[in-house]
This record gives sequence, C-alpha cells and structure tokens, in this order.
Amino acid sequence: MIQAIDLSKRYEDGLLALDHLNLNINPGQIYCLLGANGAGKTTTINLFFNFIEPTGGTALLNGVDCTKRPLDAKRHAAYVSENVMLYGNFTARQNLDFFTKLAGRKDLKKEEYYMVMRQVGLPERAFEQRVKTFSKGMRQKLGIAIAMLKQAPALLLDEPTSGLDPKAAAEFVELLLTLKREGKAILMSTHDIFRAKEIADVVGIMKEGVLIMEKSRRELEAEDLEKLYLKYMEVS
Amino acid sequence: MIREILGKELLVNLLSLRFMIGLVVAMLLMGLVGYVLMADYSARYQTYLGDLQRHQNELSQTRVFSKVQVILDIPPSPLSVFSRGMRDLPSSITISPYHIPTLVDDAGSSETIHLSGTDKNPVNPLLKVFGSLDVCFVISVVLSLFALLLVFDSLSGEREAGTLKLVFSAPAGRVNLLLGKFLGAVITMAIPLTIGFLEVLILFASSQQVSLRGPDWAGLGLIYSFSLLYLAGFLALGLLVSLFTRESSSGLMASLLAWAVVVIVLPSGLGSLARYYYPERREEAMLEELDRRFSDEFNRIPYRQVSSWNMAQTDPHRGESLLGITREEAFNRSEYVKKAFPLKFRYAEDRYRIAQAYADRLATWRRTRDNLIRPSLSFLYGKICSAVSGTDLETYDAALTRARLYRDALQSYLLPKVARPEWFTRIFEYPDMEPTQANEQAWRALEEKEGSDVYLKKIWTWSRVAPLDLAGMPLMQDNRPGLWARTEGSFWDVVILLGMTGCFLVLALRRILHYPVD
Amino acid sequence: MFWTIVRREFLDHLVSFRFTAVFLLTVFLTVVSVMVFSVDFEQRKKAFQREPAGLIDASGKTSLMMLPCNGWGVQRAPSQLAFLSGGTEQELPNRVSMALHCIQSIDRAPEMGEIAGTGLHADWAAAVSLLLSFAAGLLTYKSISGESRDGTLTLLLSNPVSKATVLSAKYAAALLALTVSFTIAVVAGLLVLRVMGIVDLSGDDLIRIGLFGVVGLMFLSVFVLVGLLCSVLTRTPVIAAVAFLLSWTVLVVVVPNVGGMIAGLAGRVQSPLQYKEMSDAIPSQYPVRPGMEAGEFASIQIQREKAWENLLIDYVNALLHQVELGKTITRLSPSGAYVGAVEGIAGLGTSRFRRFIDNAVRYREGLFRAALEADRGDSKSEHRYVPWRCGSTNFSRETVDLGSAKEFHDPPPSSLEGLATAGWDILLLAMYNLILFSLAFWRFASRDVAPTPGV
Repeated sequence: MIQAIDLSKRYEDGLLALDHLNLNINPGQIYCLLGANGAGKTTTINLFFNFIEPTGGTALLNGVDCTKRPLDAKRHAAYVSENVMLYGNFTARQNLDFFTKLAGRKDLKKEEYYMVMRQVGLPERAFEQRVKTFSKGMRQKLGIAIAMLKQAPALLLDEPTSGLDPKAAAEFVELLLTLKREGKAILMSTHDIFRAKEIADVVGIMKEGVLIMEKSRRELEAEDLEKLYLKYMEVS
Repeated sequence: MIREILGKELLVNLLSLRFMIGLVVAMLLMGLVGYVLMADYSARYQTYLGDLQRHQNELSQTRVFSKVQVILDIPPSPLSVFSRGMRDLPSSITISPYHIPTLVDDAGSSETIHLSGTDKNPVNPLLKVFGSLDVCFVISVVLSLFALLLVFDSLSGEREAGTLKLVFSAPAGRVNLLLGKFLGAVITMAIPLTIGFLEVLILFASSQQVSLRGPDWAGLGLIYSFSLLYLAGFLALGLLVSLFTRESSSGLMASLLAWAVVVIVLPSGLGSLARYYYPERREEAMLEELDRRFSDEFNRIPYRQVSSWNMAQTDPHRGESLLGITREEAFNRSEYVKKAFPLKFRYAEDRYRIAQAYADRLATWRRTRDNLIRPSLSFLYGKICSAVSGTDLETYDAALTRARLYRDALQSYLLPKVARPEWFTRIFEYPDMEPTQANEQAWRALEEKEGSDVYLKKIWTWSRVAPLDLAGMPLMQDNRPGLWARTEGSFWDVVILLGMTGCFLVLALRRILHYPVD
Repeated sequence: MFWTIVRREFLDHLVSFRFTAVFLLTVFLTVVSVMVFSVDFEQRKKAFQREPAGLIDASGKTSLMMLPCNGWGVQRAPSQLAFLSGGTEQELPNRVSMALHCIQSIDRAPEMGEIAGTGLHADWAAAVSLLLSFAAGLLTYKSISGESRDGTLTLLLSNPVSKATVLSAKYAAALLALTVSFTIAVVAGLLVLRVMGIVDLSGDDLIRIGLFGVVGLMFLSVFVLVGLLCSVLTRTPVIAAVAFLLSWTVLVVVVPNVGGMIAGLAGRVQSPLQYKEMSDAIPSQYPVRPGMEAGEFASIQIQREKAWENLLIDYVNALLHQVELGKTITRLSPSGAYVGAVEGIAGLGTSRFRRFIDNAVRYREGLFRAALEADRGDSKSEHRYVPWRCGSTNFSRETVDLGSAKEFHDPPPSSLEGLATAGWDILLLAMYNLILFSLAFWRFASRDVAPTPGV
C-alpha cells in the first residue's frame, strides 16, 4: 500500500536527507517512524505527497508512482501535518467542507460533517466556531477528521501528537486504532516512543537519512524500546 | 540604556537588505531628479537673464512716455530643485499705467501654453502632462515608503521571532525600547537623506550657472531639517501601526494603506472635493460691464481727426513718408490726450478693484482647502518646502504686492508728464521735410485733396528719434520676500508636523506598555 | 475543484478589512473625481461656447475685404470622458489661432483651477492605477507565501489538485474580488454623474466606459500576478509584502513620473534661437524683387505665410514627439500602457491633439479656398489676396456667406477608432499578463512546497 523503494533525496546544497529508504506498509498496519530532528522523517512523508521530488528511487501509494503520477497518487493517501493549520477565518465545518470537496467528494450534508467531528471528539460548540480560536489539540482532531472524510486507503501523519497534552494524545491514538481496524495503512512519524510502542505494528528508527533499525511488534515486546532507541542513537 | 538599544537598532537596520535597496533607489532617484531639475533651473535662469536684458533694452528704447512699461522679471529660485512649485506661476510682472497686476490676470503666465513662432520657452511646455517631480516629491513619496518599510515589523517582527520576550525582560524598560527604536530609525533614515542632499549639492557645485548665496544655504538647511522631521513623523506612524497589528506582513500592508491615505487620497480626494466649491467667477460679468462703460465714456471724448498724420508717401518701397499736421489737429490731439489717459488710469483702478476682490475670494477658498488637507503629512511637508524654496503661491503674491507699491511710485513719476507732448508723440523732433521737387509735388497733391493749412512738414523717422531720458524713473529692487519672511508663514505647519509626530509617539508609548508579548 | 478554491478565496477576500478599506477609498476617489469633473466640464463648455466667431457677423456672412488682416480661433470641444484620464485634456493646448492664410499660434489658457491646484489629477485611471493596483497586491501577497508558512498549502496539495489549478484559482478569486469592487465604484461614479446632470453620456460613451473597465481589469490582472509572483518567489509573507511594495513603488510611482523627465532630458527639439533663425530665413527663401508685379508679390507673401505655418506645425509635432517619447518610456511599467490605453479609448491624449491640429489646418485651407471662390465671383475685385493688407481693391469688397466651409468639424474619434489607437497598449498589457502568468506558473511548479529541513 505505502511503498518506498530505494528512496533517496539529496538537496542542492549537498545535504543527503534520505539514503535508499525501503518501506513497505500493508493495509491495516501502523508503521511508526522514529528519529531525531532532521533524521529524514518529514522528508519521507513529503516525498510521498510530491511536496519535494526524490533524487533517487521510487515512492508508491497503492501501486501508483508518486512522482510520475502525483495527482493520481494523492487520491490514495490522506495527510495530517505536525501542526495542522487551517483557514482561521472559517469555521470548522467550513474547513472540513472545503478540504472534502478538494478530495473529490461533493454533496456531503452538514449532518455527515457533524458526525465525523463528533467522532474525532470535537465539542459541539466548536463545530461552527472559527478555527483561529481552536487549541492545538482541537486542530489536530480536525485534521484527522479531514483525513477521515477523504476516505483514502492510506494515511500519512507527521508527528501528529507533538505538543498535545496526554489526554488529547491518548484520544488521538484511539482514533488511529479505529482507522487501522477499518483497514487503512498508516505511516506515522513521531518522537513519542511511548505511543509508538503502544500502537505500532512496525517501528522504524531513522538516523541521518538511513533506516537503521526496523522491528515488528512481536520483536519489540521483549525489549525496552527506549533503551534500544538511545543505543542506536549513540552509534555514530 | 538607550544607547545600547540605539546601537543595536542601527546595526540591524544598516545591514538589512531593505535598507540597501532603499538607499540605492533613493540615491538613484534623487540624483536623476536633481540633475533634471538643475538643467531645468539653468535653462530658466538663462531665460531670466535673457529676459532681463531684453526688457532693459526695450525700456531704454522707449520713445514716448505713454508706452513706458516696466517688466519685473522674477528670478527662478535655485531651491526650486527641491520644490519646483506651481508651474503656472508667471515669470514676470508687467507694470504699466494701464494695468494693476493681480493674481487673477490671464495674460503673462509663463506656462500658458502659447505655441507660436515667437515662443521663447526653453522647455517643452507640453511635458506638463507628466506631472512634475522634484526632490521634495521623492522625499515625501519614496522616502516615506522606505521609512515605513524600515519600521513596520520593528515590534511585531521581534514578537514573531520570539526575541521580544527577551528584550522586554531586560531592565531597559519598554519605553526606552521604543524610543531607542525610534531614534535608531531616524538616524538610519538620515543617511539616504543626507546622501541625497549631498548629491544635489555636488550638482550645484559643478554647475557654472548656479551659485548659492547665504540665504539659499540657510534655506537648504531648513529643508533638510524639515525633511528629517517629516520622515520622523512617518517613522512614528509606522511604529504605531506595527504595535497594533498581529502579523508583521499585515502591519506593512496597514502602514501602506495609511500611506496611501495620507499621500494620495487626502490631497487628491479632499483637494478635488474642495475644488467642487470653487468660488464662481462672478467678476466676469462685472468686468464686461466695466469694459462697456469705459468704451462708452472713451468714445464720448470729442476728437475730430481733421487730417491724417501719415499723409504723403514719396517712395513706398523705401518707406520714407512725409508727415504734416495742422494746428487745429495738434490742439485737438493734445486735448484728447488730456482727457483720454486719466480715463485709462481710472479704468485700471476700477478693474483692479474687481479683480482683486475675486483674488481675495480665491485666497479664502485656498486657505479653507489647505486646512482640509492639513492632516496629510505629505501635504504639510510640501507646503513647507515650497514656502522655504520661495516657489509657492504666497511668495508670488507677496511679489505682486511689492510690484503694486512700485507701480504707485512709477505712477507719481509718470503722471506729471501727461501734459507734455513727449507723452504721446515726438513729432516735433522730426527733421523738417526737404524741399525737393518730388516732395513738393506730393504736398501739393495732398493739399488739393485735404485742402487744409499744414504747418508742420516733417519726415517720418521714428527710428531716428532719440529714446527718452528715463534718468529720474524709480527703479525696483529685488521684489521677492526674504527667507525668514517665507519661513515665518509656515510656522504653524511646522508646529502641526511636530505635533503629529509627537502624537504618534505618545500613542505608541501608551500602546507598548500594554503590548502583548506573544 | 477549481471553483471550490475560488469560492473559498473569494469569501476570504470579501471579509478582509484592509481590502474593504481600499475599496471604500476607491469609491470615494471615483465619486469625487466625477463631481469635480462635472464642475470643470461645465466651465469648459461655457468657455467653448463663448469663443467669438470673429469670422462671421450676426447674419452669418463674412466680409471678404477684411479677411486678410483678421484672425479668429477654433477650439477643441471639451471631452465628456475626461474624468477617465484627465492628464492630456487639462494640459494639452485646445485652441488654434489663425488668419486665413496661416496658423498663428496654438494655445491653452490656464484654467482658473490650475492656479490653485494641488497637482494631483484625481481621475478614474489614477484611482485604478494607484489604489486598486495596491489592493491587488493586498489580496495576493499572502496567497502562496502565507499558506506555505501556515501549512495550509501542504494540506491543500496533499489532495488531487494540481499546482496550476491552485494558482489559477487564487488568481481568479483575486481578480473576481477586484472586478466586483471596480464595477461598484464605476457604477457609483456613473450614478453620481447622472445625478449631477451636467454631463450627458451617449451610448458610444457608455461603450467606451465599458472598454475602460475591460482594460482596467487587464491592468489589475497584471498586479494580481505581480502579487502572486512575489508570493511564490518568497518564503514568508513579510518578504512577499516587501517585494510587492518595492515592485509597486517602482511600477506605479517611479516609472510613470520619471518618463517625462527622461524625455525632457533628450533636450529641447529646437532652441528658441534655432527657431528664430529658421523663421528669419524664410523671407530669403521666398524673395521679393523690387518692381515685382503685384500679383506675384501677393503669391510670394502667401507662400511665406504657408512656410511659417509649416515651421510652426513641425515644431509642434516635434514637441508632441517628445511627449510621446516620454509616454513610451512609461510603458516600461504596466501603468504607462494602461494610461495609454485609456487615453486611446476615451479619445484623449496626443493622438487626439494631433487630429485637432490637422483638422484646424484643413479647416483653414478649406476656408481659404471658399474665400477665393467667392472672390472669383466678384468682377470688381483684382483677385489678389495679399496677407495682412486689407481694404483696397486687391480683394473683393463683398460680404458673402462662405457656406459649409465656415463650420469647423472636429469630431472626437469613435469608440472603434479609439480601440484601434489603444490597440498597441492593450497588446502590451496582454503581453505583461502573459509573461507574469508564465513566470508565476513556472516558478510555482518548480518550487518545493515543503521547506528545506534544517532551516
């Protein structure tokens, strides 16, 4: 579903952000990508959405090449960024409506929007409130709602729980589990080792553009992920 | 404390890209404008010298007192490089017994477009379609934009970068911070301003025709100071706007909006609105009435031309004519003159009264309109500059007043001469007719036709008659008001400019005490 | 999808406070300029009608005997559409003084208002080129850079919508918002014009105003694209705003004003001394020999006068040429092209002035021919026309009606002709649009949406 084959990105100034990354995420799987700041996690996600172009290798979404057929590829994945910013002067529902239409789904009724917003845990009073008054947690939830309404088979999230308080983060990962159960392939980059251990089916650790470790859930159960993480980080 | 802030601000400003770009643009523009206006001034000065010479020649060639007219040429002000002033102002004032000059004269304007073979204007008058640029325009429009550019994100930018918290936590205090930023910006703006002025000075120095005297230097210094004050006002405005907007970029746009209102909409819009209430020229009808009355009176003066003056022509190609008058004719003519000319003088005065009434109404209207537009910083600044440069309407008006006083002196010199024959003719000084055969023949033919008793037989030689001796005539000194007189009139404008700057600063100070840090 | 984005952007623009402020200012300027124009127009019309005929007496006849030493003038009718662009209407000469045998001068008396003016023309072209162009930037400077910084751009582009669609939608929304405000301002102005009742616009005039609107939109489109380009090329809205400010200052404030100066720098066409020399040389080119036959003498004089007239017309043409050079320099900015197009469409500008002079010369020649015709019919005349000599038997002493020749025809160009005159400027505006469009699209397409990491 979400595939990276020898994916590489070298910037013009010479910085090698990604070095031959190989990923394979199947439907119903949650893959957590861990790594320090600048390790290449965001770059990976950006490559899938053709926000930047790879200098080597291929990124595939549901078999569609993200660089050669970007518009087609984007139909198959939804995006939630680290800090979801929306159009502040518009209400939650209006934002939802706008992005849903962009995703290609028209004629959704107000009730359906309300339903999704309830599902992600937004308070009722916020539905018709301007987004610029929202807290970060509320915005992240709205971001997920937008992604849900897109009804794409893959979901790529870039550090979605950073800056969220524990309660909001917990609610967030609950939603992810729901989506996983619906059969979506989920790629999530994060710093949050705790959550990663909680929900990931596969964990990958990136360092300076290279995927240095990849372990499945079963493999991790025996080990202390934190110690593992720090140990691999030390290897320079 | 302020010194540290000042130092840092200056450093930040001077190293910023926008300062460099602004500096380059300002220098280029000031250089270009200065160069063009210098050339324009040189040309106008040459024209002035030429006119001066020409008018003096014409005056010295006058042969009858009734045609004595003194044309006062107004020298162009070297400071017009800074403020060109109105282009329609006449460059000379004509003083004659038959006309008292007012502001509303139609004729005599140097920039009335009159394209004919005798056009002496050195500059293409049609270029007026482009609107005039002068150094003060560059300062009031471009440098003010540059000033806004410098400070629009002074505070909101620091807030966005997160450094504001750090700055506010320092013991310097918010007030000191603001003052430091303000002063730093003023000093920064002084740099392109000074360089621009230096450019103009270099242009002045390298030009042979232009030489600055003491008052001109003082005027230059004044314009520099007022320009700095004006820019300080804009900087204060920019800082104020920066304190009220959330984002830096919207701060810039808000400042620009304020700029557009101050520099464009207020002068143009309100000025035009005031134009709508322009005083009607009722005087037209009154003047026509006056003309009619005068014509009637004039025609009623009895004058029966007994015989013509130019009577016999011996050789049409050589142009020498014979002239003769009868005694009766001579008497009639001088009686006519004694009645006609005082009438003309009276006409001039009546006409003056009507025209001046209109000019006064116009002055009132202008004052009202100016007061409407006064809130515009750039308008204030423009007025101050043109006053100091001596190119505004008030200066010309003052020149007119002095011209009128001079005319009174001239009148008292000329009036006694009305009774003398040199007032209107020099025929008595013509050479007598030579008694050649051809001449005698012509005379006899004439006498047959006219049948009168001619007592003066002269040869028409206008050009060989000596010009008048005008030794006793009063002369006019430089009729332009001095620098202090001109600046005095702008006193209140300067006060308002200072006041507005102060206001902006005070408001900014109040705001910064409650400024939200994030 | 395109329309979804357009709709959202458009709504965003409408609620923007700053945009509303600029829009209101534009309406204010539009209405005020129309009011002032009506007053000016009334005065100009009065002055126009007051122009004394000089040529004909109360019964419409002309004294042929007095023709050689009489003079009169013809005026260019004041234009009803000068509120669109007042520059040339107010500054170019509008009166030609002539005698039957030559044009003597081309003048303009200053209107009273000029003695008291503030120097800024408040006309519709100014409102558009100063305020609305600024509004165009206001709407678009944050379009890409702001969304990029905010992160909405990445969310946007994570959907199956191409960059081209996004950019075109933003362009369309901004242009739509500007169209709406522009139309409202124009309608408001026209209503006020109607209410004041002084200017009566014909159908053709309304077509012209429509064309003015279209050209205005083309001009505003250029600035929308400049704003978008600034937005695309820069990283943050602040830099975008600064970039737009600098572009706007150069394009709208500096270039239009500097054009005339540079043209003036090219020196005066002929110095007064040169003109005088050429003028003085004419009698020797058409010499008079002593003892010349009277008829020949007369024709030599006529030729001299014609030569002087040609000198004057050439001189005026050279002056005009310099003005047009200045205008061409201003075309480096879309502002110059825009004002040129408006002048062409409204039937103002230097081409109108040229036409007026041509018509005046043609009128004079027609009048001359008619006078000679009439003279031929008089058997008592010696059929000699001597310039400046009246009252002898050289020319007919009769008083005749010169027929249709005595009417001065100087119709303003039709809207179609105006469009043709403006053709090059309109093409130039289209070219600016095309270039900026391509630049913006190309840059946006090749630009990474996400910033370089580590930055």
